[in-house]
Amino acid sequence: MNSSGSHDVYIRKVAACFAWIIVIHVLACIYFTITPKYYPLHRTAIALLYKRVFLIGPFYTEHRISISPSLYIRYKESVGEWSPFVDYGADLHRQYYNAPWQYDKLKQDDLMRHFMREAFNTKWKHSHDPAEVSNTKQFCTLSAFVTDGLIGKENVDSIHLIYSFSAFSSEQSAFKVDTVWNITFNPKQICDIR
Amino acid sequence: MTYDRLIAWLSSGFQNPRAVTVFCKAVLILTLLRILFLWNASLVMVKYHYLSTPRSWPGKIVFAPSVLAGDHLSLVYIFFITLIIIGIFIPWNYLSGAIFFWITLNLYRITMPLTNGADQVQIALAGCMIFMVSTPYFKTAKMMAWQTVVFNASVLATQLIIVFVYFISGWDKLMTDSWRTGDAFLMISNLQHLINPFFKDLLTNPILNIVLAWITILFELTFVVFVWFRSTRMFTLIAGILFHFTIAIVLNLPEFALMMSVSYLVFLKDSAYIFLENVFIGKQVES
Repeated sequence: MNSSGSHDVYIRKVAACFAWIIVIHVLACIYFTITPKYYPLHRTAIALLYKRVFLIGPFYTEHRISISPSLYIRYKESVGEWSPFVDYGADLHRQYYNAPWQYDKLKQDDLMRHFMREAFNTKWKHSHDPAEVSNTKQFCTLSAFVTDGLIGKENVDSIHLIYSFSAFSSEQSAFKVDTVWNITFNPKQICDIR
Repeated sequence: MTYDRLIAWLSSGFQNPRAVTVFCKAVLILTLLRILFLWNASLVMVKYHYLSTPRSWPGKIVFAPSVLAGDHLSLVYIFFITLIIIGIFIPWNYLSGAIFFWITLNLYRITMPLTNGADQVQIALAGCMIFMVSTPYFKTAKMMAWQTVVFNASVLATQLIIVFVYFISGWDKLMTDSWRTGDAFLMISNLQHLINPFFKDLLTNPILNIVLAWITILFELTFVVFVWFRSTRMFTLIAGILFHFTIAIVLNLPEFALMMSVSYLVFLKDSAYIFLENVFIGKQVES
């Protein structure tokens, strides 16, 4: 009887420790969620831990849904005319809708947008001059993906990319399309590392 | 739940061990399916996305599969699938939990360009699942006391993670003008890489958009409360499944829908499975 009584006391002590941890954890989650970022503790390591590990989200925030990026691509082979501009992302989506088990088509669109974002966010993001972006890892990855993964033709000597943002303006309650990057390059010359 | 009730809940035996085991196995099955569906896209990805080697030796050891995946992705995936299948069929233990967490971390690193909210949720769940071991593991009463409390605390921590996913999103939407006015759905209708074209025109109606926006906000904020009460729990979870599957169809996010739906299993009690057994198996015995 005594040993089971002392076991009960012991387990309740352990439970009390965890109860306090849980209570403090819940209060911390609420604090880091509802208080503005300029409040105390938001720049501490513990806040970073909470925001990375315990506080997942928020999803569909305004800054993520207010801009819709699109990448238009056309190419020219060594012999021939320029192809029409193609939105490969829209094309991959169409393939997914026609066959919803082809989830990898959506993922390939995610991949294209990831490479585009990485290339665009390099320090040459405002450059339209291929020489300034040549041999940068991010742009070379994008170039390789577009040439081999999307276009898939051997003799492409010119690629023209237009990256545009369709952004919502709440003042005007309308969408505005902005070309943020317009660049033409030769994929065989732009990246020595390929 | 008062503080005393919380202590009693944490200390009075493994809470709903069967339901928790079903939850763990369901997360494993979902991960297996995700690997299978992501395989093709991953093969394309590794041709262009370089998987760097971590600088530290612990990093090199922990993330060795993600480095190997650069050249041998299929082998790494087959290895992961084999471990996951073993984990599905053996009793859940600390080793299987740790291995699953390790697999999840490596998968996240391998598929970084393709990741979304589902991956973040999976990592959090996998971390808690390490401690969800209800088979008696230790011989001494003190260690068993720890095992019991840690099990119950990890289940509660998982439930809190899910609840806070909704709270954070709901709070952010409540504080954002475009969500309160319904303009957020108009913006969503413009997201070419997400929106299902069948629904695009529907989301241009301003009255419908306000209704949908407030349904979303209220669902996310009320989930936080209603999921804890027996009388409202099942209704809340069913509403959540409908909510996520609507998003999956309208916004092409089936992964996140499945991950959140599977995570709801952590809120179920053993009594729900006993009820289902009585309904499906009990009646067969009677007949």
